[in-house]
Amino acid sequence: MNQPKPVFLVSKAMVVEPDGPAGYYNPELHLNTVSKEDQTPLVLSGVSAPTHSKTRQHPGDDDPDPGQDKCY
Amino acid sequence: MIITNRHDLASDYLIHGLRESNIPFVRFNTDQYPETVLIDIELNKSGFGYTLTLGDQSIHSSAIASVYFRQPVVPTFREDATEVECLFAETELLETMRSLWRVIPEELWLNHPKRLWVAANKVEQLMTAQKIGFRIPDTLISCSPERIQDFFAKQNGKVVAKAVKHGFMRSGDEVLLAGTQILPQKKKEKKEEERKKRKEEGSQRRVSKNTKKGSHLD
Repeated sequence: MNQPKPVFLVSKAMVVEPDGPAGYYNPELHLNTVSKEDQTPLVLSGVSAPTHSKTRQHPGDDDPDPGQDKCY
Repeated sequence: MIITNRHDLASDYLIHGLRESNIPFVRFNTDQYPETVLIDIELNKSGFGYTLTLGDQSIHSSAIASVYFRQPVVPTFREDATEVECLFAETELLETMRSLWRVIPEELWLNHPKRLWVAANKVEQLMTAQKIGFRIPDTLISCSPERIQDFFAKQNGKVVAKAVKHGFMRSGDEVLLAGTQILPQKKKEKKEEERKKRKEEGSQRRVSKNTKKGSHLD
């Protein structure tokens, strides 16, 4: 029996490990800090993923994310 | 006003900059709606407006001078209610949120959600780019193997394949990305291209040799 031909792009697909929420969302500063105690903004701490990799952080950029396009 | 979600670090950068410049702002994390964020929209004969309650802070629409929209998420409803009630509530919350976007004047947005939504389409992007003077790559979107093969030959085998949407797929807990790929050439086509390239390089070498001697090719 013939195997169905694989979809080219799907056969090359890679698993993406989205970075999970990191740090602590500080409701007073309105941004994520290293921890509840350490109020250094996460983006300045060097421990967070830089936002240039939107693919790894959250799929898409300002595009609607998969499943989130209903927000638009 | 920054409309985003709690975990968006790009919004954190922006907020850090706003704080440093002493520019007042509010951050509306849609994942906190309706837990700690409330939306009131009012429409009557004298006009329309909205009030946002963010924790213990209350902001009227008249205080909002600009709006940045970055990756909001769909609100969820986690109250003690039946499944149907939760579904109904989530649909209502989402539509209320989308209604809020419509109450905010379009000129205040960077960028209006409807514009972002339209711009998320690759064909729309290519057409707009071409219209305003950019060079765009020859593009074919097709399900027909014959048409794709013709296109491939016409482009001398120099073709990349992309998903028409974004290429993200969820499979259980995994997220897969079908990213852009160079379409591989078949061995026969590759050999033919290499032969052509060698031939071209050979004739170029002959041209430069003849030019050095001061000869003309006519």
